Amino acid sequence: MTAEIRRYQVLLSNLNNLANTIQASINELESAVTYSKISLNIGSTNYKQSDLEEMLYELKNEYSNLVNVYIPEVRRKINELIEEQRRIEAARRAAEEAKKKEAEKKAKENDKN
Amino acid sequence: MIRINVNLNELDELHTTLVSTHDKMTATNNQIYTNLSKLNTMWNDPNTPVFLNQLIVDKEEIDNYTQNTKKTCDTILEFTNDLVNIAIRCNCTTNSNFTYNSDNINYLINYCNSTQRLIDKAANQLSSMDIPGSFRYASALHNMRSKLSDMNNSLITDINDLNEVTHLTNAAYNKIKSFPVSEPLILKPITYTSSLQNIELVSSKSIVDDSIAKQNLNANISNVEYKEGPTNFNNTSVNQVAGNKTTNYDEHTNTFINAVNQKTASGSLTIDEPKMTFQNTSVNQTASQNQNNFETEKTNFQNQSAPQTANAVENNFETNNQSISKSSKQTAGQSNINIENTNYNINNFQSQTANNSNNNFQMSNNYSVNTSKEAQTNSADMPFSDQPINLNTSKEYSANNSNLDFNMTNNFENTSKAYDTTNSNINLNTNNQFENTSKEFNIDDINSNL
Repeated sequence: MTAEIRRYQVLLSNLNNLANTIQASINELESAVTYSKISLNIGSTNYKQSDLEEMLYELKNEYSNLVNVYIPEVRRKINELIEEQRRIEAARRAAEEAKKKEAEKKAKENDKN
Repeated sequence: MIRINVNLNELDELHTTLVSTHDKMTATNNQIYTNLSKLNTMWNDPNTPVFLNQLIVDKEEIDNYTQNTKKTCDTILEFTNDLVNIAIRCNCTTNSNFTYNSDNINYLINYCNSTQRLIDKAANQLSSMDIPGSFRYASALHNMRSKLSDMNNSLITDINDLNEVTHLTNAAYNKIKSFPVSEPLILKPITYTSSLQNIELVSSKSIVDDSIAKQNLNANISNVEYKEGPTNFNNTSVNQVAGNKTTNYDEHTNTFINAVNQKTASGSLTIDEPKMTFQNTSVNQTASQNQNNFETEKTNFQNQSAPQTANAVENNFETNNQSISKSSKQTAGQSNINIENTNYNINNFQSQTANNSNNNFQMSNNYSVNTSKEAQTNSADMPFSDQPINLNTSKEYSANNSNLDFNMTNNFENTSKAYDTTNSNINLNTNNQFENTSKEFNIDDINSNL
């Protein structure tokens, strides 16, 4: 359990890094799009502008998904896993507690006996 | 930075127009040259060869210029084709504008490169990422990784495209930029050889060379100056009225022998006249050159008498008049010797004792003067007819200071030594008084028109 949590935490870290990387690429791509509008214009068509803009759009989507969906999901999962683990831990402790009480009760009974 | 802002359609039209202009200019140049070359003569103007040579030079200049303009047309066409190919390469229209900025496209390429690197990194991160299978978006993340890979690949292609287009456009620009600019067409003005700047007709007030003058011109054309070559115009006979006249006087041998002298054999006055040639070279003569050759052949006027002392004797020979001069030495009187038709007056010498003697000489052709000392003609008429008369003027006979009158048909100049006419007055009566009508005295060809 802990390992899984650990995994998701690593995943979360990686995804955060990924988000940063994609964010940086988006910035660069946006500048490229800007210059594509003033570099080569043939017949009212800016060369590579549409391609870059399309890419930019997809990249932004990916980033948005990453940031808005995937990473939160990882966090949620992590939280869930943590919560799960805590519950498990709590249950275990409860079980141990109960077992302990059971043991004490027996002991008392033995003592009575 | 390279900037290109052209319209491909207009660029193509420009090329078409230039080609048409070039063709027209070439044709016009040829036509001009062909027509003007027909002018192979312009009134024998010396500038015609200059003009024709200049025409050839100008034609070559224009031909060179048109060839350069043709190359310019080809370069423009090539540039246009380059840009059209780029447009096709870019999947763009080919008949509209073409705007290009090399700096901006370089920035574009740089940004595309950085984007590509980041996207590639992202993709790699996703690839190396441990995605739990239970993760809800594990597949989404795998898809993202694929998408990032695709983006990466697209960017790489775009960057390559951008690099290629940049290279092509820059090359097209540099190619037309490096084409040499045509020199402007400048035709040099014609430098004529003569001072005349305008071509004028020969019949105008032009100065014509001798050669040209000899060719065509009429000497009577006015306002034409002729530079004649050296002409020797010798008018040596302005005053000559007629041709040379040669008057030859061939006197026969006249021997005037004084019969008296013969008798006395002394005291004859002999006048030796050598050949005398008379030449009228005087300007004052109104007649033409007359050569009066008086060849008094052997006109011997011999005074066979003793040496004369006829110095300072004045001999007057007048055909008309008779004059008698006395010498200082004359002691005798005067003796008039009348010669008919030729009146000769003979001085009386000292020795002459023919005082007051009249000697009539009938000029048959003889006349004689006896002036010898021994001549005694006193009061003696000595008719001489047909007798030679000798008039001897020896050396001792100095005619200085003597007056000799020759009534002759011609001017008679005796330059003999024996007859020193220095300081002598020679009165030459041109009247033809010298007429010999005798047979024996023949003077042929007496033509004296003085």
